[in-house]
Amino acid sequence: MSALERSMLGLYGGAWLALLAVCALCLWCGRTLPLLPGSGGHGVSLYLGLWLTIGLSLAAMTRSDRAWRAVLFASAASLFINAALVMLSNGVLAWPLALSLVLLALPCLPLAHLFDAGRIRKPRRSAQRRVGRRRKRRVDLQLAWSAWVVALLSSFYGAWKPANADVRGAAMATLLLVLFLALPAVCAGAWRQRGAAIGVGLVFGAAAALYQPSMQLALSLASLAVAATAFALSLERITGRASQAQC
Amino acid sequence: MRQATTKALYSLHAWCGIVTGVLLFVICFSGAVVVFKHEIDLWANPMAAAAPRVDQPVGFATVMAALHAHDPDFAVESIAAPDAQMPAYMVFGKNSSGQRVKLSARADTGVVLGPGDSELGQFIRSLHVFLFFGPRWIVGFMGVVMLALIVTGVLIHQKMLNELFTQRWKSSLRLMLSDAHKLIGVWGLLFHLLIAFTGAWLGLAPVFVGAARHLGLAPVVAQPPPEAGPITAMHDLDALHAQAQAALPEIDLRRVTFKHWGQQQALVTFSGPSRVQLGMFGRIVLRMADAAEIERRDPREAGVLARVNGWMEPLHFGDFGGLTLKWLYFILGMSPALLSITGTWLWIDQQRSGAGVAGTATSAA
Repeated sequence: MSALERSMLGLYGGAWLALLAVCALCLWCGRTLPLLPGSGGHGVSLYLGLWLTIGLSLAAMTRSDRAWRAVLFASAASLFINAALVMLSNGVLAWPLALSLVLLALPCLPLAHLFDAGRIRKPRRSAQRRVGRRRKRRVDLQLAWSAWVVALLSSFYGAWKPANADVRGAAMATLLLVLFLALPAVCAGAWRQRGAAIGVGLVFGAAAALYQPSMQLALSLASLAVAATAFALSLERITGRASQAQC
Repeated sequence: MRQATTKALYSLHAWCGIVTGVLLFVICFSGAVVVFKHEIDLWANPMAAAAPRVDQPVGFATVMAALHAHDPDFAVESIAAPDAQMPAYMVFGKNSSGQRVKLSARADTGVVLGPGDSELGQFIRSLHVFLFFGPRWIVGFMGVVMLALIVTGVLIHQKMLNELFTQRWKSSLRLMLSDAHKLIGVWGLLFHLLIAFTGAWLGLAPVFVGAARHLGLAPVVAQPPPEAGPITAMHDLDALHAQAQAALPEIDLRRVTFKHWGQQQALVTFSGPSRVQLGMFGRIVLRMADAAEIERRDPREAGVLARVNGWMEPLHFGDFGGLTLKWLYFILGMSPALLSITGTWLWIDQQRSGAGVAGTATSAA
């Protein structure tokens, strides 16, 4: 099992199993286990800790079929435990909830048998050579992605944390630009570097302009229009290139 | 469709899915569970659930008096009246040590029953809506990503009718998961579009509103008045509630929220759902010192956008059609989480076998 597969399986399986474990703990401990940070609870740390622990345990497994089976069997076991705890609590809706949890657990067992070692194909040697070739990354694209991440983080922080409504409004406008114009432009850069790069540059220019508190609406809209035009041009180049390739 | 376009769309679909897959998985499975939030709250709080249900609960003022008798330092933030699910009053506030606490109180006497037994429902909701830490825009943007995944998925899989009924259980694991990925995607298509769109709307609405206000496209909300010292006289809470209910007769004003408590400019907000219009909420803000109306949101005067906005939450969480609909939402809500797992595994398998994008894109189309 590759490192990527192991980490992904750990992340996916851990997220789900950690939630089931938190539910079971919550049912067992009741009021003595406050969950929300506002009420002094440590539910978030507990969940993340369990996610990490379970995820690492799953990632430590070297065989794919065993890891998948472990996730499914652990899911079924956790659901059965939760159902038993629900019944023990004897509260309102205990019967329907327990029955629902058992019904959810049952399909996990036959599904686990589908993950047979013989059905999982082994990696080819040629694949490793191809992966090696793919590692040549384009510097311009990496720079564009780095710039996008910086813009995303700064606008996200500006839109979330500051108390000043003007700054937050400007940052929110920038965040929308970053998400809905810059992100497609950077993605398009994978196919057509020059056009997309111009689009990205202009979008960032417009975003920077939006940060000025004295910016007038007309000028902001003009910047947006320029950025959108640049992006459209870059898209046109991409489609033009695709049609040339087809000819 | 041209092969180059299919290849590009496939790359987009695959990379969107790989980059956001884990987040989408967490959001989708927690969202499927949070559909049952009311039921989880009811079941996880047996003390409140066992409280007697009455047709005419005591007024908010009686509950406030009982709360202050229970803990004089308790700072009440909001009170939710009993409803179809919960037979007791639920009170949110901060205790003397500054911790946020949820208390329940009897509907017939207002006597405080004690703190809630479990915060499990709120905890799972916090995971789904805020991912514990962040603002809800992250989840909103994931809705946009999900829309992109759906659109690219539909475009690259052109034999949708065949995929409705194809599931090869006994073939290789790759084929089985590939069939499952397409089968779930096609059968759940409309539902996936619905939750992706409503999720994006609910999550990103605050960002769009904030940006529109900054650009002068939406009215700016008036700032609260400056501090004006402690309050000297305060209107009776039940009288204020009656005044609010008379102003908004179609609204079931079952929730009360306090702001600037103890100050001269103390405000009380009564809010609740409309009795006649699905998904519509109304609210009215009154000043406690002189009962002056500060703000009113009346669904009868709402425009098209406000009405559409009102439908988003019920459509997203499915809490308008009883338990049967909730089960349907739960099962269909789990399906994008399964799509995320199967999609990721297919991509990993493709990398492992060295099939590359071109080969898979061709087979997908």
